Amino acid sequence: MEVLRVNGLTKTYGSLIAVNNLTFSLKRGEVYGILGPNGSGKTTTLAMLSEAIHPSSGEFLWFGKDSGLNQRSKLGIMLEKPNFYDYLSAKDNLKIIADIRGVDYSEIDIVLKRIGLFERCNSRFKTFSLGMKQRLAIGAAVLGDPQVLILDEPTNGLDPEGIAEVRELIRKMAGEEKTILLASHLLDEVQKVCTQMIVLKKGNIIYDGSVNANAKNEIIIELMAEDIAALTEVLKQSVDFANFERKKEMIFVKIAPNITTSILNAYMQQHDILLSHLAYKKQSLEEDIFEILNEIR
Amino acid sequence: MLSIYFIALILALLGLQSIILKTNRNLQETGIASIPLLPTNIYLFPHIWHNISFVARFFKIFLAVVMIILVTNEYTYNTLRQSLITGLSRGQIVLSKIFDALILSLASAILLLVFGLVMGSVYSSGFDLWDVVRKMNFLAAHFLMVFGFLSLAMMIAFIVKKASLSIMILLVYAYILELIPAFKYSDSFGDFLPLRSINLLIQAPNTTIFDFLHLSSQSNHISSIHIIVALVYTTLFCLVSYFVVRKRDL
Ligand SMILES: Nc1ncnc2c1ncn2[C@@H]1O[C@H](COP(=O)(O)OP(=O)(O)O)[C@@H](O)[C@H]1O
Ligand SMILES: [Mg+2]
Repeated sequence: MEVLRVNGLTKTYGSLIAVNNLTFSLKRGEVYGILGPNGSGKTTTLAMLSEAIHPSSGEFLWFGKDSGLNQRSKLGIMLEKPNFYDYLSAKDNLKIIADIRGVDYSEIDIVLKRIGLFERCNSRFKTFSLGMKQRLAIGAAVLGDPQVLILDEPTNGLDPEGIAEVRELIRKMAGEEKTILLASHLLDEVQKVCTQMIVLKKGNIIYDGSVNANAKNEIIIELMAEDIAALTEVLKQSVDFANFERKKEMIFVKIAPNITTSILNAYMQQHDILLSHLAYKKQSLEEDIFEILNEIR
Repeated sequence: MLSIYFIALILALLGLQSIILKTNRNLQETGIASIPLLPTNIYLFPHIWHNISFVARFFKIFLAVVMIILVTNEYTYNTLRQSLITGLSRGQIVLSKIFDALILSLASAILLLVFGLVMGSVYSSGFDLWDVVRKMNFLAAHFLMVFGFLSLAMMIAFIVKKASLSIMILLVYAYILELIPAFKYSDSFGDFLPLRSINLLIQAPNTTIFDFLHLSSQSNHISSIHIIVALVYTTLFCLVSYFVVRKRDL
């Protein structure tokens, strides 16, 4: 079943196209990642889907309808940096949210425990660390048990333990038949949590599909050197670059996506190989994605 | 801020009496016989309602500052966005602020009511219920005037987003800009400008005390044309606030 359909969604700020003509859809029960470096349009996209900002053009349908108020109660949303009243406690802030959503106050304690803020629930929001603020924002999103969760960089500012907890929380909710749309600039995070991903580059979708189909792929890098024999010898003895083939004067190395050209270059320098050419094999769509994924890392 | 408003207003209302007494004494000492002595008691039923709501007119700026902060805080903490993504519609967001303005106006009217009842019973001799309630419509006018002023403050705050700038704009508009046309042209020219028309709801009491202050307009009545104009402006300010919030990215 389709939860969300997005059609040609675009947002421009003056001459800047922050989000360009996005078309995609979300199926029920899947966990989607929106992956892209900073400034690629993730928050802008999610803010439009939350109706916090108006699209310049395009449309989207939640549950097959133009979003109205009755739809909103099905969405749990957390955008960018947490926004709460500084001078109110965590609990009072959640009470406001509960009032708006028509959720019983008894659920607040359950959520506070779930996000690990129960002990600090009477502290003012402004005394919280960034990680605690972030967790409260996640708490506000999950309050009322919505069917769909929109989470914008939910692990931002958390310590490793907090990151693990939040990812665990998301995975748990994914197991409860919820549809999750998670924006992140971390490939690793998307791989760990999501089943599907949409990769954004400067506001454009450059990949939309399964997470795994992609992660297993390898990249091909072109190499040339004056002393091609020495180069092949070094490659043969290496661990990461041993998978290569030679075509005339050009060497094509297959590498795992976690290896960058700079790592390869440094390795060659260590072994006194002077490269005369180092490049990704001609930019097919798939390779483009990996280039970005490497950029983000 | 709210407490400043309440305290300043009460002090001013209390102080008025002693100022009048003092002026009277000065007048007597200088011995200018041609100037009539001021009536000493402004706290008599039923005129007390008119007198205190007229004085309160000059203090509503404090409430406006409270209103502006209530709105601009939502921008500084970005809680408008939070309310919106939690599920409030833009209309409901503006309505909640209009509701705040209503509460503030009501609190102000209640303050005057309590103050009036207390001081009135202390200073009035005898207790005629009809006298007590006769001019209470000035409290309603006070409520409407404060509410109208607060909706103007709210509209400016929604448009400008910043507290200090909103307050400045409100001050400059209220105390400078609106006075220009009245100065340049005839006195009544500015009567239909937003603030002046709201202020005209409660004009200076037509008694010797206020005569003494040389105020331009005096009336002991609340005219229905001013009520209508004030209501029209108030509605307009609320509608503009709504359209601003509806159009804007939050
Ligand atoms: N209110 C705004 N005014 C102008 N430009 C903006 C605004 N919001 C975002 N942008 C620009 O839009 C682009 C996308 O931003 P954003 O969606 O926040 O990216 P991400 O969340 O992926 O880091 C960036 O270039 C950013 O500078
Ligand atoms: Mg972002």
